[in-house]
Amino acid sequence: MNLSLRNKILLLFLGLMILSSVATISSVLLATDASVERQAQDKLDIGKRVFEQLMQNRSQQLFGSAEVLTADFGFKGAVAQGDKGTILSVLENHGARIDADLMMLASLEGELIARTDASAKSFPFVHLLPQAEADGGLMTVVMLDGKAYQLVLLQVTAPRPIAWAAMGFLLDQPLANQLKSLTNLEVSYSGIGRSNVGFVISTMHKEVHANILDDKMQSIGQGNNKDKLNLKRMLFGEDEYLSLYVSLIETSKYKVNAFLSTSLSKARNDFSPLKIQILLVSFISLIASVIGAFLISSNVTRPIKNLVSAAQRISSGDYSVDLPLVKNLKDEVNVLAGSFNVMQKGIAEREEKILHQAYHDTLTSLPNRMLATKEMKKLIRACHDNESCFVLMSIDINRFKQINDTFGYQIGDGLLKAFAHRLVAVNNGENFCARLGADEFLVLIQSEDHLKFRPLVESSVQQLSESYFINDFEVTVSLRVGVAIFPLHGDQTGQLLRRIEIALNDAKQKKREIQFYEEGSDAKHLNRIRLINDLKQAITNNHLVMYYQPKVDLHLRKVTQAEALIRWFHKELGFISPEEFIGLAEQAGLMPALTRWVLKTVVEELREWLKNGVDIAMAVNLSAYDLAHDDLPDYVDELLAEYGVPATHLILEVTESAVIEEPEQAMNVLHRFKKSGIKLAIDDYGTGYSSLGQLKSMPVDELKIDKSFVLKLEQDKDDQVIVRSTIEMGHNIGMTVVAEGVETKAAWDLLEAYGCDKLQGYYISKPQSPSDFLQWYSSYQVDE
Amino acid sequence: MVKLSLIKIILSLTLMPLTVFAIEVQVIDQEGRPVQNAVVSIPEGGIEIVNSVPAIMDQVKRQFKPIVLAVEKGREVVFPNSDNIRHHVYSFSEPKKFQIKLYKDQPKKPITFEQGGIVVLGCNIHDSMIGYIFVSPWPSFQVSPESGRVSFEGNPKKIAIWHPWTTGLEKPEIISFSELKKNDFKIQLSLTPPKQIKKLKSKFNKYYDK
Repeated sequence: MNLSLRNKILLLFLGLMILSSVATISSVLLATDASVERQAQDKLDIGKRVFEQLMQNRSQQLFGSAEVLTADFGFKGAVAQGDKGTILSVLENHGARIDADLMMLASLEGELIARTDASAKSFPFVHLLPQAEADGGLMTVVMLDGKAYQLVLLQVTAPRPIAWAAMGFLLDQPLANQLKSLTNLEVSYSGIGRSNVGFVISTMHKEVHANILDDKMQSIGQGNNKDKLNLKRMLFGEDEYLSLYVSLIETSKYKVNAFLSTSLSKARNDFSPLKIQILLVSFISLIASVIGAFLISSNVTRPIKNLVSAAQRISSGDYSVDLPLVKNLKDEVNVLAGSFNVMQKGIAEREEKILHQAYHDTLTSLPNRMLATKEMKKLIRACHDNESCFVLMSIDINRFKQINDTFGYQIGDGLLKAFAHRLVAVNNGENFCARLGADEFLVLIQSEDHLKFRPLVESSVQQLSESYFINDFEVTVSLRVGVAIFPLHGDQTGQLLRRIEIALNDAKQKKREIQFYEEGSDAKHLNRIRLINDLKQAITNNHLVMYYQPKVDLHLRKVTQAEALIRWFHKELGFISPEEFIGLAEQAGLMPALTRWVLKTVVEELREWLKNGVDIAMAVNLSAYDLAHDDLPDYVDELLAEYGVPATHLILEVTESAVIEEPEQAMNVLHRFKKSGIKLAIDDYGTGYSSLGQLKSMPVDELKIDKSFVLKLEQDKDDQVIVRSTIEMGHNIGMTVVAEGVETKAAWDLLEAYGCDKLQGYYISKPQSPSDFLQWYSSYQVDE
Repeated sequence: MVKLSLIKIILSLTLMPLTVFAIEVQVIDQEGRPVQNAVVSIPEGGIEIVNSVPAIMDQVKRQFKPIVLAVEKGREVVFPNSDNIRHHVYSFSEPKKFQIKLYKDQPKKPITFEQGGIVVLGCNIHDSMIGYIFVSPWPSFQVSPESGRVSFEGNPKKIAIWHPWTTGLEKPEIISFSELKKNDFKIQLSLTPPKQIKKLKSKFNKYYDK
């Protein structure tokens, strides 16, 4: 059964109460019934004694009267002399005195001498005479002519017995009535003689007489029961009686019973007010206990219900309502309610924290990008409604990474906090400020006129650009700020965010402090995204090709190496410069795939060339990303092994900056390449910030002077000094030196004069496709 | 053996004085015990001389004394009262009906019993008092003492016997000599002592005889 706790408790209570009520009522009913019966029996028992005493009294009265009669001298004389007239008159006189119903005189032999009633001429008690003679007289009950009498037989003596006197009292209705009034019982007499002629005298209703007679007959039929005190239960119509039989006489000819009855129904009726009271009390207590059980169960379950609804409320995210508590009550539910409140508070606090963290930046406590997006949506709606506009500023701390590197992370973080703090202060806490990324912040300034924005932005930027003092360090910052205006530069969150990003990138590229979004920038940006997509396709579909630019060994005076350069001919956009798409690849995380494609392509080509007797080592450029991950050396080893190309024929070129980003890791990777027998070269040497100490520690074989120093070598004296000293330095630390960007005979000569080891550039050859290269290679001769 | 010797004694007694005719009889009851107050008479002859001295039927301790008095026809009997209470002696018997109303000491006159027969005496005050006067029409009669033995002179052919406790014996019974002889001169009577009326109990008492 799917019952609520309250109903379960209620049901249990009710069940117990009904059970106990039923038990009480039934035990009371049984007890009263038993009591009624017992009382009835007691009443009958007492009544019987009274009845018997009364009967005896009556007999003795009769007996006394008979004695008086038989002792009367005149009567004796009359009897002795056979004076019938006198005898009869004496009998009548005596009979009348004691109100006897039967007076007779008979001879000793049983011949009738006289009787007061003239109904028969014989003496009806002849059969009793032997007994009476033996006992000196007789007191008994007899049945005569369908009536029952209490009878006394006494001898008349003068002084020897001369006659029998018989005197009788009729057992009649007045007697029954009298006995009833004395015993408080219903009194009945029943008699039955031969041929079932019987009589009933009863104080009860006439209708029951037949029953009494029937029952009596039934009793006769049951034989001579020695125990003549029979208790019987009889139903007379609606009334139930308990009756007690007293056998007065039982002979072979007749039988006379007295029959005392008391009404059980009546006795029960005496109890009925009590029963009604008990029923009423039970009913009331049942009702009371139902109410009580209801209250108790409600009392118990109400707090639980509260807990349930509280739990539901909490699960739906409402922590505002506390459960009501009863002070100082150690009740479990109360304690639970208390725990609920504590839990609810805890959840609320934690959720708030989580929400805050979800929407805020932990370092600066400024809203994050998510909240910024939300806020922008709100602002867009608001501005739509009141036709106002707002400006979005994306602020980037220029070269923040370098600041971090220079001063350490602590200062870096301090700067970010201070910057955030100032950002809020500058905006008077009114404008929405957020931190979008590491060193990128966003400000939303609402205004009705977008022309006012530029001075606003400029003043903000100026204030934000002032020096910061972090832990006693003065930190100067330059900012790059991308600005877009709603609705001028877009009316959707994503669009606006992209456009300030584009503006910011523009600012960075153009090295400007503030860059408002310019129409069309977005298209370029979208173009980049498309290119990234295409590049992915190009790598997998071999739409990229490798071009090779030869290096000439000045000592051997022949081409010994070639630099492999990647080329992308876009189907629609045509040639795309590596500077452009390598940057994209780096941003899009395509570098590993690109590098591997390049290496594989080059090594494959190299095998072909070596097979065809073209003994040339190939140089491949690695990016900073390639050095930052240490899985590339293994790949290269496997590749070389697979294609059977000696490691000496592969040269890997890295830029100084690629090493600088993560020097230890990069150095580790370089050493592993070196171990495999691969030659390493520093590319674009001279443009980075690497120290000579670092350079010295690198396992590098070759130094490639950046072409910016070589392109105008013959005209620029400074370049000549730099190149010359670099070559010398390279040689001094045991490296071969390669010059890039050799475009003229003059540069060649100068470099040759400086002792440069290898040359590369358009003067020798531009990068060429493999087939062109091989063709060119077969015919190329170094001029003497 | 005892019985034999007794018979011998009786025989010697009866045979010894052959010249003097005498007869001795003993009255016994149904159980052989000697019977007192039996009137044994010889139903022969008539009364020629009446004793002029009145016979005495006394009343002592509410009993007639003697209980049985035998007198010849025509004799006077006085009823002195030896008790210190009054008695009311009466008779409803056919031979002599009389009553002496409440009296003390000696009544004024003796009662003369002119007619032979049995007169039952009662006291109207004391029902338990019953006395009998045997008015004998014959001259020879005796009332048996405790031993039940009576003897007569002569040679009677018959003997008359009466006792108040014999039922239906309103008149004396005549027994022939031969029959008497056959019975060893013993007269056996079946006696029924009168019931004590006071003994009567109510039938209803049975419920209380617990």
